[in-house]
Amino acid sequence: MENTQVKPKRLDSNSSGAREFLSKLSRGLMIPIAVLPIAGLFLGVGAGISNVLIAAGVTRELNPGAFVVGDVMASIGDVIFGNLPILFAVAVAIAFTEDSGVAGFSALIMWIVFNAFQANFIHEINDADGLITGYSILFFDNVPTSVVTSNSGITSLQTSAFGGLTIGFLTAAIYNKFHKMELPKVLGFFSGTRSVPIIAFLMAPIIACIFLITWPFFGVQLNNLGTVMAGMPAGTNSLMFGIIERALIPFGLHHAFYTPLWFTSVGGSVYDAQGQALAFGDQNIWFEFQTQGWSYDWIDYNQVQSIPDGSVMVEVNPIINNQGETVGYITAGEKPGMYMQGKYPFMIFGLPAAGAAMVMAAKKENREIAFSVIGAAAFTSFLTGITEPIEYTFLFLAPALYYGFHIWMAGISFWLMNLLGANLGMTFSGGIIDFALYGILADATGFGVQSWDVIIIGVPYAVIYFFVFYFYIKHFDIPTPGREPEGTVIAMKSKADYLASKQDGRKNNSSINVKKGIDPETGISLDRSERVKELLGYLGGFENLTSIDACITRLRISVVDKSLIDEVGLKSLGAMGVVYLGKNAVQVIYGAEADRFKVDLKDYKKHLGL
Amino acid sequence: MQKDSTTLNYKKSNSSTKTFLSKLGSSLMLPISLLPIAALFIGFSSFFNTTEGISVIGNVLSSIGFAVISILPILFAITITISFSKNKNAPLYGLICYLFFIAFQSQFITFDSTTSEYNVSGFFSLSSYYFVDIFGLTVLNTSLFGGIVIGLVISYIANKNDKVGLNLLYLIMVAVFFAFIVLLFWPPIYYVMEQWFNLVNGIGFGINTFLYGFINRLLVPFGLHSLLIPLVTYSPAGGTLLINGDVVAQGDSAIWLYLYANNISFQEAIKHSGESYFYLGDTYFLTEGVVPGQYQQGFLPIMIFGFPAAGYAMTTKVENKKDKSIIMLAAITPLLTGITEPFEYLFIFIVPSLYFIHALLTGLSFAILSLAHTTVLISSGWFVDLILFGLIPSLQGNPTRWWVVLAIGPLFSFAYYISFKMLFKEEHFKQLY
Repeated sequence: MENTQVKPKRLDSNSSGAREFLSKLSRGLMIPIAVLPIAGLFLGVGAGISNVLIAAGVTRELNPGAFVVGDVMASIGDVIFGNLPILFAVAVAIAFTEDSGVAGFSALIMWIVFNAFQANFIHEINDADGLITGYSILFFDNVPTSVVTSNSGITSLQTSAFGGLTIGFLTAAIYNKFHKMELPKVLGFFSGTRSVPIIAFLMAPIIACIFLITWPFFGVQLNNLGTVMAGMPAGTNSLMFGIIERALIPFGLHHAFYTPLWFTSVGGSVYDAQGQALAFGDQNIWFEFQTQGWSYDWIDYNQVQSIPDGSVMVEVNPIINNQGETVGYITAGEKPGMYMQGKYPFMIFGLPAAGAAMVMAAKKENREIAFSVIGAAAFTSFLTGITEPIEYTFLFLAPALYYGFHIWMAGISFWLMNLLGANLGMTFSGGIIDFALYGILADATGFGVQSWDVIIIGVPYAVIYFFVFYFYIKHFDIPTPGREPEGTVIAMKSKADYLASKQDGRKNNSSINVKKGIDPETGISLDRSERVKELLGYLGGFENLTSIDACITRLRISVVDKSLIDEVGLKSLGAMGVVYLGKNAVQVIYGAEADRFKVDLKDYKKHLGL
Repeated sequence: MQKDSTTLNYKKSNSSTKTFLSKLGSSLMLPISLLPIAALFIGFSSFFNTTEGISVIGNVLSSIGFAVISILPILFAITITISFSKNKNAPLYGLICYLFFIAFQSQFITFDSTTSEYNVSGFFSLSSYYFVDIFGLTVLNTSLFGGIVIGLVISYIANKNDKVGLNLLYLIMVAVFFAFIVLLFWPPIYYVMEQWFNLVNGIGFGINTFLYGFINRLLVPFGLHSLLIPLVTYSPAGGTLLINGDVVAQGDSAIWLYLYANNISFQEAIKHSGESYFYLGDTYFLTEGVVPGQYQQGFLPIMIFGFPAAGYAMTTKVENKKDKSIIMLAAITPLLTGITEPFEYLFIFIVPSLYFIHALLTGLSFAILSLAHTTVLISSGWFVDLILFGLIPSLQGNPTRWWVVLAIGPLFSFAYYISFKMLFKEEHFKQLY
């Protein structure tokens, strides 16, 4: 049915096909996107509670009980983010198969097999202490640890939302192609929808192979990119960082990219006055300043000196305290926070403003519903710096907004923060909680991080994001929440609307269906149509059927009135028996054809708009 | 008046219970239909495991097979929402609810490395026997039951209202509520259940397997056997296998597959069931009375020998050649596909006494095979299983005593032939068509 509806529209114009695709996607991703802000708040607030406790001097070793609430909240959020690819896979599979739960089920199977297959080819590389320094994957020898993750408890490639969507679309394609497949009678058990999870199971290893060959390659290249960037002048490294990091998020490869900059000497080193290295990587350096009690203003960027680091000489800026003593050195060009702080302006100001724009762009009658979904997502970004909920509401629907606007704004935010001389740190992400702890609190205690720069950049960002989003969505008619075409809005439509839309659909279709060998009266293939109509007659018509289902050999139905069932008629169609269970449940034993009858009856019913 | 209305209500609730169970049975067909493929993959892995160099193929095959088996509770939760809810989002709600359920639980379970025991909510200290890793989280092993209950509750909620936000709120509450209940009450419940399962599996003298085969067939007319099968094949009801104190497989088929894929002797395991034993460097424990395969293999003599003989007896009662071929086709379908219904429905309603005898003989077949320590797995139910999961493991050096099936088969041919010859009449066939 669905194919015959889509195709003629595609012929009219490409854009309407694309539009149909988008609104389906929007509808499908609604649940994951609605659950993300909830998970985000749990995770962000949970992590926030722990961070505040640590800042207040409470330690896990001495007061484990104090962390319980934060940990429980964080874990509830974590499980959703950790399994987001599965939610995407299942949601997309359901959305693109006329709401078939079986497709969703199959997507989960495919995802599990996809990852379990990979696990066999991913081997740890350990150093002398038994720590994992990397992975060998097929012919890739030194894959960074951040390319590999634990997906549903299975050590496999970090493929993130991209992996989930790929699996979801593939499963939908398998379902649409095979769910009406008929096998020889002997294999009847595997006919119909039951073949879908099996085919998904068998296809998964092939997809896994493709990812095993390509994904580590990207991971290695991105890891190397950090080294190239470290030497770039005038804050352009911050600019590049911001752009690339945002661009990689949907693929999960951003971890491979930022990890060396945050945690290894690629992101700079800090030394004490004797030239002994104290910490490596942007985030570690930032916290080393806190530990040492050094203000970030003490770095003298105008003086460049050379000090020995092992066997090589490195260029450094001295760190000079208020008494004029040199207390330490830092890699020349490294400004603590340069790869972190750029997040604050667009996470606290930009994205929430984009959320406001999406709510304003929703149809008036849907604004309240749109607010309930987007409001929470925007608030999550503001509070915790978890941006997936708000980013995913527009990433898939309007990739141009994400890749044409958002990532560049993110880069510029990093760049400006660097040029203004700010030095904010972060542990979790760029929300108001981290801003308070590693911005305002750091300023208040004399570390000189210039937290006001976030506001200076953030306010114009809010304005720019709001207007760009508002006009883009309006102009290109993007189906963001609350803007879906009639009949697919979040709130359930009235029954009258539904019937009307179905009837329109029927009129449009009938002329096309005839050519394709489909009976315009029943909406199912001509060769089956007569038989199904006959069956329906013996069952007392759709008015008599309250539910239709089937297992291996039985058509399982519930009826209003048992006496309307014509047993002799059913047997004339090949039934081996009719079983009555209680007052309303009836099972007709048809052998392998039972499942086929179920699908046909359901199609017929749908066709009639019942 | 009063009396009448109560009788009416009673009848109504009784019938809706039946409808409910029948629906539950049919909803489980989806994961059940996938399991044969997972089992086949694990089975094939043994061909590669023994040879150096290509053992990676074996690992791949068995790892993806076991990966599917390990998430069965989640698959159950989802498949139930598909059948029980008209809300198209219900499968996703089921998945999300299950994720919250395990995440919340896992936070209250800590491992104490000094005693090697797990601590639950601060007041249970338990061995790893009570736990399972699912989606990378260590949680109490609620097995298929947890998945079924969550699936049903979520279906109910999703049917009640359409609002996404409200449903998400409800499902978090459901998940947290169940997690609390499980953390507080599951360890003792699980303990009692285990004792009970062990008691039933350990009755001995083939009584447990006889009763299983008998009851299984008696449930067929109601379609409820599809509820029973996953419980004995993939839940603790069918037994538990521990290695070095860790649960590695639960349920008759899962245990069989684990033993086979890891080249662990079936016969050794049976000999030591109910006690710890040392084998190839590890300590094993298989619960009392478990003969891997015992809750499936009893169908083999019936399908391969019984039905064709019964079919032949029936053909002697009809004149028409076409009718004869209809009967024979139905009689050999189980042998080729493992699906017995087409044949059983030829007599199940018309000659109930014959069906009762069939159920008794099935029970007998189950009892004999388990007493003979035969261990053949039925995955998809083809006679191919006898070769793939009976003959081949024996040739690889892990005896399954598959030949017992062939040895007792003729007896079943005889019994079925006699019963059908005596009880099936020509007019019965006429009633059918």
